[in-house]
Amino acid sequence: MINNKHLIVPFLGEGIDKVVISAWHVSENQSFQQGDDLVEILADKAIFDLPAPESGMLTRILYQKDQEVVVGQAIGVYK
Amino acid sequence: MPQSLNSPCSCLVQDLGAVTYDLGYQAQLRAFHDVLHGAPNVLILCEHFPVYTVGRSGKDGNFLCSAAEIQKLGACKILVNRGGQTTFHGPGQLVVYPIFSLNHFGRDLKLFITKNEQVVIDLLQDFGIVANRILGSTGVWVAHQKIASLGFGVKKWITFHGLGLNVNTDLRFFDMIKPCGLDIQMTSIKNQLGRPIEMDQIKKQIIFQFQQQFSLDFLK
Repeated sequence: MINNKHLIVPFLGEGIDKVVISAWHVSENQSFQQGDDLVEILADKAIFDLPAPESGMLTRILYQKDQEVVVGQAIGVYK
Repeated sequence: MPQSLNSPCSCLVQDLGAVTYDLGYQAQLRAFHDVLHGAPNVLILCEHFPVYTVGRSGKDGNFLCSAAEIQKLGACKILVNRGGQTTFHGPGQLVVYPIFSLNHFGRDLKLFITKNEQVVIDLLQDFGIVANRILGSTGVWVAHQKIASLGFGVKKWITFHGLGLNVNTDLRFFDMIKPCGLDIQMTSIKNQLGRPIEMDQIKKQIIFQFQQQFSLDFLK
């Protein structure tokens, strides 16, 4: 599976270490374009929609709604 | 590409005056669309007619009264797509919506929030009010009373929603809720000084403080 890439929770600033996934905007096996909102996360007093870094297809969701994850963690797989 | 937080960037100010929450939100969406397509950042200033807004983390338990009582106050309740819990907006409260591309500010959301807090802290200092942050409770506080609440949304690295600063707000509206889900008291500039302050004066000051904190170049 050489083409598989991880969708990572980005660095959002010093002091935001953990975030909560509040909604997935795409489902597994759904295609997306670069810049599309993929997942909504709660960080501090903000909701943050993570835009797709490139066009592709979400092959696997690793963490579901309401799960807490840390910055830098892979939350999905796409190709 | 993210740019340095210290390089000046252009910004437009939109003063909407007193508007419904919905009209304010429509203005945010228009500004968001413009910024997304390369227009300058936008700083929207307004006051809202009485409204309770519930953010993504809001809970039913944040309300200490019935829907009928809210209606009796001439207010309404709206679910909104920002972070945080429940708050109140109304006459005498300055609401600021910075529609900023975080690409201009190093894509640093935490720093953006911190700078919004600092805008308020520095503004209050000009009025002789000592305000602070409380670790783990985003917002601006005077001792243990909250004077400004913050809640943001970020899409495509562009911010929306913003902050509410109690200037001459009728604080009794906050008695109906647990502001931000907390058992706290709210305060206002009027409460702290013992006299009301002209909203236009606060607007001028907050524009200046945003310019200082974010190195903004305001366009006429």
